Amino acid sequence: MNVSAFIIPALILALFVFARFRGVKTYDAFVEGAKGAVPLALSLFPYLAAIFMMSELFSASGLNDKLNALLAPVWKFVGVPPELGPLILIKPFSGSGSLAVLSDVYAEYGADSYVSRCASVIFGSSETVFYISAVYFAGCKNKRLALPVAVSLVATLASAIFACLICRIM
Amino acid sequence: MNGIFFVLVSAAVAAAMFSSPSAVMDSLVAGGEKAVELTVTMTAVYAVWLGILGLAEKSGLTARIAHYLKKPIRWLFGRVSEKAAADLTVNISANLLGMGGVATPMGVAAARELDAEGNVYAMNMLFVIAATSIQLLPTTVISLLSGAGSANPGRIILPSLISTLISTAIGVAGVRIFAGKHKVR
Repeated sequence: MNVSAFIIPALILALFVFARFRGVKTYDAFVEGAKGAVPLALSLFPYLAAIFMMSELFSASGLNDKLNALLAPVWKFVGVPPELGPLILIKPFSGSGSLAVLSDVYAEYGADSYVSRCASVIFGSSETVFYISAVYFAGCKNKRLALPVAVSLVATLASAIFACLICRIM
Repeated sequence: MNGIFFVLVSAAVAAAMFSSPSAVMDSLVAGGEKAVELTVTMTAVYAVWLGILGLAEKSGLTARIAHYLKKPIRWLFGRVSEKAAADLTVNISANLLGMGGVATPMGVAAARELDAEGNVYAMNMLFVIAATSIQLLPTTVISLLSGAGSANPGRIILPSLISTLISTAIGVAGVRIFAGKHKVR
Protein backbone atom coordinates (compact mmCIF):
# COMPACT_ATOMS: atom_id res chain seq x y z
CA MET A 1 0.00 0.00 0.00
CA ASN A 2 2.95 2.29 -0.57
CA VAL A 3 1.42 3.91 -3.62
CA SER A 4 -1.43 5.41 -1.60
CA ALA A 5 1.08 7.35 0.51
CA PHE A 6 1.98 9.34 -2.59
CA ILE A 7 -1.56 10.14 -3.63
CA ILE A 8 -2.31 12.89 -1.13
CA PRO A 9 0.98 14.78 -1.50
CA ALA A 10 0.63 14.52 -5.27
CA LEU A 11 -2.92 15.89 -5.12
CA ILE A 12 -1.83 18.78 -2.89
CA LEU A 13 1.04 19.66 -5.21
CA ALA A 14 -1.20 19.46 -8.27
CA LEU A 15 -3.75 21.71 -6.60
CA PHE A 16 -1.16 24.35 -5.69
CA VAL A 17 0.21 24.40 -9.23
CA PHE A 18 -3.30 24.47 -10.70
CA ALA A 19 -4.38 27.32 -8.41
CA ARG A 20 -1.26 29.33 -9.24
CA PHE A 21 -1.86 28.71 -12.92
CA ARG A 22 -5.39 30.05 -12.55
CA GLY A 23 -4.06 33.25 -10.98
CA VAL A 24 -5.10 32.50 -7.39
CA LYS A 25 -3.16 34.21 -4.60
CA THR A 26 -2.30 30.92 -2.89
CA TYR A 27 -1.28 32.33 0.49
CA ASP A 28 -4.35 34.54 0.83
CA ALA A 29 -6.69 31.78 -0.31
CA PHE A 30 -5.13 29.26 2.09
CA VAL A 31 -5.42 31.62 5.06
CA GLU A 32 -8.97 32.53 4.10
CA GLY A 33 -9.92 28.86 4.17
CA ALA A 34 -7.97 27.92 7.31
CA LYS A 35 -9.70 30.76 9.17
CA GLY A 36 -12.75 28.53 9.52
CA ALA A 37 -10.93 25.80 11.46
CA VAL A 38 -11.12 27.20 14.99
CA PRO A 39 -14.81 28.23 14.96
CA LEU A 40 -15.71 24.89 13.39
CA ALA A 41 -13.80 22.83 15.97
CA LEU A 42 -15.19 24.95 18.82
CA SER A 43 -18.76 24.60 17.61
CA LEU A 44 -18.37 20.80 17.48
CA PHE A 45 -16.81 20.51 20.94
CA PRO A 46 -19.93 20.35 23.18
CA TYR A 47 -21.49 17.68 20.95
CA LEU A 48 -18.32 15.60 20.97
CA ALA A 49 -18.04 15.97 24.73
CA ALA A 50 -21.58 14.68 25.26
CA ILE A 51 -21.08 11.69 22.93
CA PHE A 52 -17.70 10.74 24.40
CA MET A 53 -19.02 11.00 27.96
CA MET A 54 -21.90 8.74 26.97
CA SER A 55 -19.53 6.17 25.42
CA GLU A 56 -17.10 6.20 28.36
CA LEU A 57 -19.93 5.87 30.85
CA PHE A 58 -21.45 3.04 28.88
CA SER A 59 -18.31 0.92 28.79
CA ALA A 60 -17.40 1.72 32.44
CA SER A 61 -20.85 0.76 33.71
CA GLY A 62 -20.43 -2.90 32.80
CA LEU A 63 -23.64 -2.71 30.74
CA ASN A 64 -21.49 -3.36 27.70
CA ASP A 65 -20.44 -6.82 28.94
CA LYS A 66 -23.96 -7.71 30.07
CA LEU A 67 -25.38 -6.72 26.70
CA ASN A 68 -22.72 -8.77 24.91
CA ALA A 69 -23.57 -11.86 26.93
CA LEU A 70 -27.23 -11.29 26.24
CA LEU A 71 -26.71 -10.84 22.50
CA ALA A 72 -24.39 -13.83 21.92
CA PRO A 73 -27.22 -16.22 20.90
CA VAL A 74 -28.64 -13.54 18.58
CA TRP A 75 -25.31 -13.21 16.76
CA LYS A 76 -25.08 -16.96 16.41
CA PHE A 77 -28.58 -17.05 14.96
CA VAL A 78 -27.80 -14.51 12.21
CA GLY A 79 -24.50 -16.20 11.35
CA VAL A 80 -22.12 -13.75 13.00
CA PRO A 81 -19.36 -15.23 15.20
CA PRO A 82 -20.39 -14.20 18.76
CA GLU A 83 -16.78 -13.10 19.37
CA LEU A 84 -17.54 -10.13 17.12
CA GLY A 85 -20.53 -8.94 19.14
CA PRO A 86 -18.46 -6.45 21.17
CA LEU A 87 -16.99 -4.96 17.98
CA ILE A 88 -20.39 -4.50 16.34
CA LEU A 89 -21.78 -2.99 19.52
CA ILE A 90 -18.99 -0.48 20.15
CA LYS A 91 -18.28 0.63 16.57
CA PRO A 92 -21.19 3.14 16.33
CA PHE A 93 -20.03 4.84 19.54
CA SER A 94 -16.29 4.96 19.55
CA GLY A 95 -13.56 4.81 16.93
CA SER A 96 -10.74 4.32 19.42
CA GLY A 97 -12.77 1.79 21.44
CA SER A 98 -13.53 -0.32 18.38
CA LEU A 99 -9.89 -0.10 17.28
CA ALA A 100 -8.86 -1.60 20.63
CA VAL A 101 -11.44 -4.40 20.24
CA LEU A 102 -10.19 -5.09 16.70
CA SER A 103 -6.57 -5.39 17.88
CA ASP A 104 -7.70 -7.79 20.62
CA VAL A 105 -9.45 -9.95 18.03
CA TYR A 106 -6.27 -10.06 15.90
CA ALA A 107 -4.14 -10.96 18.92
CA GLU A 108 -6.50 -13.68 20.10
CA TYR A 109 -7.46 -15.39 16.84
CA GLY A 110 -4.55 -14.57 14.52
CA ALA A 111 -4.69 -12.00 11.72
CA ASP A 112 -5.59 -14.50 8.98
CA SER A 113 -8.37 -16.37 10.79
CA TYR A 114 -11.98 -16.24 9.65
CA VAL A 115 -12.99 -14.26 12.75
CA SER A 116 -10.28 -11.66 12.14
CA ARG A 117 -11.22 -11.30 8.50
CA CYS A 118 -14.86 -10.72 9.44
CA ALA A 119 -13.75 -8.23 12.08
CA SER A 120 -11.61 -6.38 9.53
CA VAL A 121 -14.42 -6.13 7.03
CA ILE A 122 -16.94 -5.03 9.66
CA PHE A 123 -14.53 -2.41 10.97
CA GLY A 124 -13.55 -1.17 7.51
CA SER A 125 -17.06 -0.91 6.16
CA SER A 126 -18.80 0.83 9.05
CA GLU A 127 -18.61 4.22 10.71
CA THR A 128 -18.97 5.71 14.17
CA VAL A 129 -22.62 6.60 13.60
CA PHE A 130 -23.21 8.54 16.83
CA TYR A 131 -20.04 10.56 16.40
CA ILE A 132 -21.06 11.51 12.87
CA SER A 133 -24.57 12.41 14.03
CA ALA A 134 -23.08 14.69 16.69
CA VAL A 135 -20.73 16.37 14.25
CA TYR A 136 -22.86 16.71 11.12
CA PHE A 137 -25.92 18.02 12.90
CA ALA A 138 -24.07 20.26 15.38
CA GLY A 139 -25.75 23.65 15.48
CA CYS A 140 -28.54 22.78 13.05
CA LYS A 141 -32.18 23.69 13.68
CA ASN A 142 -33.34 20.30 12.42
CA LYS A 143 -33.04 18.00 15.41
CA ARG A 144 -35.05 15.07 14.07
CA LEU A 145 -32.24 12.56 14.00
CA ALA A 146 -34.20 9.44 14.90
CA LEU A 147 -34.90 8.40 11.31
CA PRO A 148 -31.42 8.86 9.79
CA VAL A 149 -29.68 7.38 12.85
CA ALA A 150 -32.01 4.36 12.86
CA VAL A 151 -31.58 3.82 9.11
CA SER A 152 -27.78 4.01 9.44
CA LEU A 153 -27.68 1.58 12.35
CA VAL A 154 -29.90 -0.94 10.57
CA ALA A 155 -27.80 -0.62 7.39
CA THR A 156 -24.59 -1.09 9.41
CA LEU A 157 -25.96 -4.16 11.16
CA ALA A 158 -27.20 -5.70 7.90
CA SER A 159 -23.83 -5.15 6.25
CA ALA A 160 -22.07 -6.76 9.25
CA ILE A 161 -24.18 -9.89 8.75
CA PHE A 162 -23.42 -9.83 5.02
CA ALA A 163 -19.72 -9.31 5.77
CA CYS A 164 -19.55 -12.57 7.72
CA LEU A 165 -21.30 -14.33 4.85
CA ILE A 166 -18.97 -12.84 2.22
CA CYS A 167 -15.87 -13.75 4.26
CA ARG A 168 -16.98 -17.37 4.25
CA ILE A 169 -16.69 -17.59 0.46
CA MET A 170 -13.93 -15.04 -0.24
CA MET B 1 -30.86 11.81 19.91
CA ASN B 2 -32.40 13.12 23.11
CA GLY B 3 -34.09 9.77 23.68
CA ILE B 4 -30.95 7.72 23.03
CA PHE B 5 -28.85 10.01 25.21
CA PHE B 6 -31.30 9.82 28.09
CA VAL B 7 -31.70 6.03 27.96
CA LEU B 8 -28.01 5.23 27.61
CA VAL B 9 -26.75 7.72 30.19
CA SER B 10 -29.35 6.93 32.85
CA ALA B 11 -29.01 3.15 32.33
CA ALA B 12 -25.23 3.37 32.54
CA VAL B 13 -25.27 5.58 35.65
CA ALA B 14 -27.81 3.30 37.34
CA ALA B 15 -25.75 0.18 36.53
CA ALA B 16 -22.49 1.79 37.64
CA MET B 17 -24.02 2.85 40.96
CA PHE B 18 -24.11 -0.80 41.96
CA SER B 19 -20.88 -2.01 40.40
CA SER B 20 -18.48 0.94 40.84
CA PRO B 21 -19.98 4.32 41.84
CA SER B 22 -16.65 6.12 41.60
CA ALA B 23 -16.37 5.19 37.92
CA VAL B 24 -19.21 7.55 37.02
CA MET B 25 -17.37 10.84 37.54
CA ASP B 26 -14.12 9.33 36.28
CA SER B 27 -15.58 8.23 32.99
CA LEU B 28 -17.48 11.49 32.48
CA VAL B 29 -14.27 13.47 32.89
CA ALA B 30 -12.36 10.96 30.74
CA GLY B 31 -14.95 11.48 28.00
CA GLY B 32 -14.58 15.24 28.28
CA GLU B 33 -10.80 14.95 28.08
CA LYS B 34 -11.08 12.83 24.95
CA ALA B 35 -13.32 15.48 23.41
CA VAL B 36 -10.79 18.22 24.27
CA GLU B 37 -7.96 16.18 22.78
CA LEU B 38 -9.87 15.45 19.60
CA THR B 39 -10.97 19.09 19.29
CA VAL B 40 -7.36 20.26 19.48
CA THR B 41 -6.17 17.68 16.95
CA MET B 42 -9.07 18.37 14.64
CA THR B 43 -8.47 22.12 14.76
CA ALA B 44 -5.05 21.44 13.26
CA VAL B 45 -6.42 18.97 10.72
CA TYR B 46 -9.24 21.33 9.72
CA ALA B 47 -6.78 24.21 9.33
CA VAL B 48 -4.75 22.12 6.89
CA TRP B 49 -7.69 20.90 4.84
CA LEU B 50 -9.81 24.04 4.95
CA GLY B 51 -6.74 25.95 3.77
CA ILE B 52 -6.24 23.53 0.89
CA LEU B 53 -9.95 23.60 0.11
CA GLY B 54 -9.72 27.41 0.06
CA LEU B 55 -7.34 26.99 -2.87
CA ALA B 56 -9.62 24.46 -4.55
CA GLU B 57 -12.54 26.83 -4.21
CA LYS B 58 -10.74 30.00 -5.39
CA SER B 59 -9.29 28.21 -8.40
CA GLY B 60 -12.76 27.07 -9.43
CA LEU B 61 -11.91 23.39 -9.00
CA THR B 62 -14.74 22.48 -6.60
CA ALA B 63 -17.30 24.18 -8.83
CA ARG B 64 -15.97 22.23 -11.81
CA ILE B 65 -16.15 18.86 -9.99
CA ALA B 66 -19.63 19.75 -8.72
CA HIS B 67 -20.64 20.49 -12.30
CA TYR B 68 -19.52 17.04 -13.47
CA LEU B 69 -21.31 15.33 -10.59
CA LYS B 70 -24.50 17.34 -10.97
CA LYS B 71 -26.63 14.40 -12.07
CA PRO B 72 -25.73 11.89 -9.33
CA ILE B 73 -26.03 14.66 -6.70
CA ARG B 74 -29.47 15.57 -8.05
CA TRP B 75 -30.52 11.90 -8.04
CA LEU B 76 -29.42 11.39 -4.45
CA PHE B 77 -30.34 14.67 -2.82
CA GLY B 78 -33.01 16.21 -5.00
CA ARG B 79 -32.89 19.95 -5.67
CA VAL B 80 -30.20 21.68 -3.61
CA SER B 81 -28.51 25.08 -3.93
CA GLU B 82 -25.26 25.38 -5.87
CA LYS B 83 -23.29 26.07 -2.71
CA ALA B 84 -24.68 22.98 -0.97
CA ALA B 85 -24.06 20.86 -4.07
CA ALA B 86 -20.39 21.88 -4.13
CA ASP B 87 -19.96 21.04 -0.43
CA LEU B 88 -21.79 17.73 -0.86
CA THR B 89 -19.53 16.82 -3.77
CA VAL B 90 -16.35 17.48 -1.80
CA ASN B 91 -17.75 15.64 1.24
CA ILE B 92 -18.64 12.51 -0.71
CA SER B 93 -15.41 12.45 -2.73
CA ALA B 94 -13.39 12.81 0.46
CA ASN B 95 -15.36 10.04 2.16
CA LEU B 96 -14.75 7.76 -0.82
CA LEU B 97 -11.02 8.36 -0.54
CA GLY B 98 -11.08 7.86 3.24
CA MET B 99 -9.97 11.43 4.01
CA GLY B 100 -12.09 12.15 7.08
CA GLY B 101 -10.26 15.41 7.73
CA VAL B 102 -11.71 16.97 4.56
CA ALA B 103 -15.02 15.16 4.67
CA THR B 104 -16.06 16.46 8.07
CA PRO B 105 -15.74 20.24 7.56
CA MET B 106 -17.45 20.02 4.17
CA GLY B 107 -20.14 17.73 5.59
CA VAL B 108 -20.81 20.22 8.39
CA ALA B 109 -20.88 23.10 5.89
CA ALA B 110 -23.30 21.19 3.65
CA ALA B 111 -25.51 20.24 6.60
CA ARG B 112 -25.72 23.88 7.76
CA GLU B 113 -26.46 25.07 4.25
CA LEU B 114 -29.22 22.48 3.83
CA ASP B 115 -30.54 23.26 7.31
CA ALA B 116 -30.87 26.94 6.40
CA GLU B 117 -32.73 25.88 3.25
CA GLY B 118 -34.99 23.69 5.39
CA ASN B 119 -34.10 20.66 3.25
CA VAL B 120 -34.50 17.84 5.79
CA TYR B 121 -34.51 15.11 3.14
CA ALA B 122 -31.11 16.08 1.77
CA MET B 123 -29.72 16.39 5.31
CA ASN B 124 -30.87 12.86 6.11
CA MET B 125 -29.34 11.57 2.89
CA LEU B 126 -26.04 13.32 3.59
CA PHE B 127 -25.88 11.85 7.08
CA VAL B 128 -26.78 8.30 6.05
CA ILE B 129 -24.21 8.28 3.23
CA ALA B 130 -21.50 9.48 5.61
CA ALA B 131 -22.56 7.17 8.45
CA THR B 132 -22.69 4.00 6.36
CA SER B 133 -19.09 4.47 5.21
CA ILE B 134 -18.38 4.63 1.50
CA GLN B 135 -14.61 4.26 1.75
CA LEU B 136 -13.09 2.59 -1.31
CA LEU B 137 -9.89 1.42 0.41
CA PRO B 138 -9.98 0.55 4.12
CA THR B 139 -6.43 1.83 4.65
CA THR B 140 -6.51 1.75 8.47
CA VAL B 141 -7.53 -1.91 8.58
CA ILE B 142 -5.01 -2.93 5.94
CA SER B 143 -2.12 -1.36 7.80
CA LEU B 144 -3.36 -2.87 11.09
CA LEU B 145 -3.60 -6.30 9.46
CA SER B 146 -0.08 -6.19 8.10
CA GLY B 147 1.08 -4.99 11.51
CA ALA B 148 -0.60 -8.01 13.10
CA GLY B 149 1.34 -10.33 10.77
CA SER B 150 -1.27 -11.09 8.13
CA ALA B 151 0.08 -12.94 5.10
CA ASN B 152 -2.37 -11.26 2.74
CA PRO B 153 -3.94 -8.06 4.12
CA GLY B 154 -5.35 -7.20 0.68
CA ARG B 155 -7.73 -10.14 0.95
CA ILE B 156 -10.25 -8.00 2.82
CA ILE B 157 -10.41 -5.18 0.24
CA LEU B 158 -13.09 -6.69 -2.00
CA PRO B 159 -15.30 -8.02 0.84
CA SER B 160 -15.05 -4.59 2.52
CA LEU B 161 -16.06 -2.83 -0.66
CA ILE B 162 -19.05 -5.13 -1.17
CA SER B 163 -20.07 -4.77 2.46
CA THR B 164 -19.86 -0.99 2.43
CA LEU B 165 -21.81 -0.83 -0.83
CA ILE B 166 -24.52 -2.96 0.75
CA SER B 167 -24.77 -0.73 3.83
CA THR B 168 -24.85 2.48 1.77
CA ALA B 169 -27.46 1.02 -0.59
CA ILE B 170 -29.66 0.01 2.34
CA GLY B 171 -29.17 3.45 3.90
CA VAL B 172 -30.05 5.34 0.71
CA ALA B 173 -33.06 3.08 0.13
CA GLY B 174 -34.17 3.58 3.74
CA VAL B 175 -34.11 7.37 3.45
CA ARG B 176 -35.95 7.19 0.12
CA ILE B 177 -38.64 4.94 1.55
CA PHE B 178 -39.18 6.66 4.90
CA ALA B 179 -38.49 10.30 4.00
CA GLY B 180 -38.99 10.29 0.22
CA LYS B 181 -42.10 12.43 0.42
CA HIS B 182 -40.00 15.35 1.74
CA LYS B 183 -37.67 15.29 -1.25
CA VAL B 184 -37.41 18.67 -2.97
CA ARG B 185 -37.66 17.99 -6.69
